[in-house]
Amino acid sequence: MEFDVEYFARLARIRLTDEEKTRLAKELSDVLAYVEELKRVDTKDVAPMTGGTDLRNIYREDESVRNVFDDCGKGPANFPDTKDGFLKVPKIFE
Amino acid sequence: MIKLEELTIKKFREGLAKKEFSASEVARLFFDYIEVKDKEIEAYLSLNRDGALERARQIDAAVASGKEIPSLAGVPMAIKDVILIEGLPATAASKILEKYVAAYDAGVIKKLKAAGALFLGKTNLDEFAMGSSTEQSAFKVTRNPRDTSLVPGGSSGGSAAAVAADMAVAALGTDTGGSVRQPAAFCGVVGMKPTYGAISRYGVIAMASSLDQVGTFSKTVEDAAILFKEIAGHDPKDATSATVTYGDELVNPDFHKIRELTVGVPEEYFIEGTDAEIISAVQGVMKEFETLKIKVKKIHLPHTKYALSVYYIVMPAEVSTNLARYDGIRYGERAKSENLLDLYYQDRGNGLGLEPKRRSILGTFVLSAGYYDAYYAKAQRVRALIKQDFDEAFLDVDVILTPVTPTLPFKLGEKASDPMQMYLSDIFTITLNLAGLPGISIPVKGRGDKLPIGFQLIGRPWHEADILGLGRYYEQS
Repeated sequence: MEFDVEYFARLARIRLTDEEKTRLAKELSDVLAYVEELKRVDTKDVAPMTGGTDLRNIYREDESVRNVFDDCGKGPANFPDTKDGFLKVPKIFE
Repeated sequence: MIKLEELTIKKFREGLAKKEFSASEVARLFFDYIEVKDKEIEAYLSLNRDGALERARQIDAAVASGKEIPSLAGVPMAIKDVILIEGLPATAASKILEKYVAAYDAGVIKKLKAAGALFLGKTNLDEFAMGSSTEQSAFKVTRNPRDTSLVPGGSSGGSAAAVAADMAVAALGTDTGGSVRQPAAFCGVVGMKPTYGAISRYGVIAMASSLDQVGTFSKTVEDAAILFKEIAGHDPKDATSATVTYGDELVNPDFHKIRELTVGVPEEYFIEGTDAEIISAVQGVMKEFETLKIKVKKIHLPHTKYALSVYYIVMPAEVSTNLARYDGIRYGERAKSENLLDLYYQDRGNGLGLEPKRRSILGTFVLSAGYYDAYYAKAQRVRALIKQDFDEAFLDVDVILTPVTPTLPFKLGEKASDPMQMYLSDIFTITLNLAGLPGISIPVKGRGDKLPIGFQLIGRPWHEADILGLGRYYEQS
């Protein structure tokens, strides 16, 4: 199958150069051709393995551990743009 | 005279306790050596000279005052640049995180700090741990210390090369499909990926969350055991970290019990296309086990041949979700743009390299409506069958012996333009990540000046003691 690289790159929010588009369209078609072999495996009645572990859910009391407004650690030092200590983001609504 | 090439964790500990040297003296020697040697190898992305020397002074003061010192006190270590150390860069070898400085310590770093380890620096990798050669770093290409025309393997190639070139006593990496074990085999050092959940992933930049595990690089199997004992254990900040406690048998194996282990050898791991030298070297290990009176038997893992296909669906699916957070909003440089959508396109288009793009796009596809069942759900079912093969095999045997890689270390540039060829270098290691099992790559003995070859021991979940014990038995015999 021909891989629609432009459509899925757009969904992944990645801009590609024309050269990258040509290259990835071919390479991803090759990968999809390779994984076709899975269709031959009989998986009737096999439950999907949905994680790396058989461990069970872990619960804790729904209590606040730390108030991030009092202490947000050193995270904000990496923000590209800030205002009054908050992360400043581009306008979403006009 | 301290010989860096002879320093193991064990010898360092003894030397420090007997006051043969100080931690500061050794740390300075390492930095002096790195300054020269790393021009050729390029294992490190950044060095932590001030932090490491300060830590060494504290350790020396503790030794001088006669205080009891923790088990890794002053041990000079290298850390893969996806593991966060507060105040140090953590770039994941990606342009999109080039200026990121870690805001906190990873769970595994907290444990290492408590054990007294010092961090020489952060090591190179394939961008976001995606690759098998460390050529796909946005910043530099690391070379194999055994032969600098060859790749060190990857993605933790910087950590493997640092230990192999005596630029660190031990190191941490991460292993999602073989990224600790394959570079260990290529560089001739010991690399262990423990059971999924044995080590905290908190503060480790995620690639594929159901497959990622932190792993160790060391010069001996004994060091791997010492290090693993220190960093294993539950972390409330990683919901997938287990509450298993490991006993003393990790570091002090009972060799009488080790001799009673049965080793299985799966036919499916000795396939056409594998280098004949590797097959014969691993068969040599099998024969040595038999000479040591360890029972060896043939086994079957019939779904092995589908592992690569399963991996190249499950892994990119998880990559596409984990890498969605790199959007230029919270870290890095923001592009100038008219609207938010355009900002995402630009920041991700400019900041991510080709392999993270390739995997994010593929992952978006396999998770998309209309394709989910045919690809992602199908792969999860076949993944269950791969795990079931191992469950059944472990009814019969205690440990499984296989090669680590199908080829010897390859030339720089040889596979860089062909992703399928690159992916095939993980064919013997990815099954363990899919099944969540522990595995260790150990250099085959007696290779002399020839290129290193690794063999892999696979254990039952939480039975790291079996593979470490058998590995040490082989190492010492």
